[in-house]
Amino acid sequence: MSVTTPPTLDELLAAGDIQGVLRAGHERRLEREGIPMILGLADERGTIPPSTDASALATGAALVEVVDEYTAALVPWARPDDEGAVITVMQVLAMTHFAPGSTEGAAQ
Amino acid sequence: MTKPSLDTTRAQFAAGHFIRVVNYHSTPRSDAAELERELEGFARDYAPVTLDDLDRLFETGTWHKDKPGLIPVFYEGYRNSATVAAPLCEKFGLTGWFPIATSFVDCDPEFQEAFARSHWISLVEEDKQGGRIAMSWDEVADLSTRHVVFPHTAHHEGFDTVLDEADIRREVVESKAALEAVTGQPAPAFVWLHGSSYGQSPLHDRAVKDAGYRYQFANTMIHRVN
Repeated sequence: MSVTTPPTLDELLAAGDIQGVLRAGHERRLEREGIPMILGLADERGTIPPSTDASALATGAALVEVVDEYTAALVPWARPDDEGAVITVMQVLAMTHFAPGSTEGAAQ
Repeated sequence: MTKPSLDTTRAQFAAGHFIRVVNYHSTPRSDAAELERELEGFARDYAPVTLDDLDRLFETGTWHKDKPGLIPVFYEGYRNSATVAAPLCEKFGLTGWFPIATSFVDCDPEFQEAFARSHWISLVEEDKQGGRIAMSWDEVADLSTRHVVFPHTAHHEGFDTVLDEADIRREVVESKAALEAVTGQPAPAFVWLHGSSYGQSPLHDRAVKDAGYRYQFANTMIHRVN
């Protein structure tokens, strides 16, 4: 009897299967495995000065494009302020652009 | 108030205002080798984030270390956060951030499994063999000397179940006082169950701010509150 190996993140991404990435993320053992996230920063007292780090700005610009791509692929039905949808997009983004072995990986 | 939204996330990313976190829950000894490999990789590729580092990032808008910052967060106050995760963080020079449900720590070990099952705290196999599941107050105090500890409410509650002033006092204010009594330092942050964001309930926002927390952690962002 043959055993089917689940596709890797890279294979899912190469196939454009963003829904598959989301599914793979939710099927992990979340009670004991690390859940990567890339969190925004908000200062409720005022304004955070603009970053002067060119690398962070370049990474941020690239992440915005990924947010747009994954929003279209996963939650085109959502209001912009649907927190659950925002979290879903950010979870998948972190899986593909931050987690070890992701397309970003150690490069950043 | 900054509510979570796709537009908010886009704006934060575009401004370079973001930071990487990894959210852990139980870190059982049976999986320690896997965790060790993961943390070792993080320590190689990313820089630790202390409370001072986060303060500086909010003040300047710019991350100041050569490698990007990474915050490993170990939720709930599990015993194995103190006995497995923290030593591995120390081995690799990472600063762990530990949101603690203070009443879980306070609960008699005989009843901690029932507490966990009553309050959305996941259990793994080694938690079901009897004995203490939560960290002790001595472990909390010890962790606070090298890492960041802060309340995750008292009873692991979401803002949607903290309904009146008595609830707020117990979950937001008294959890902070309990933690500070053993650490001897201000609890710098707060996080609701489910990582609900600041900006969604004026009553709860005011409670967090008035309690004197500096940060509220959420699933989409970190809010600087005070």
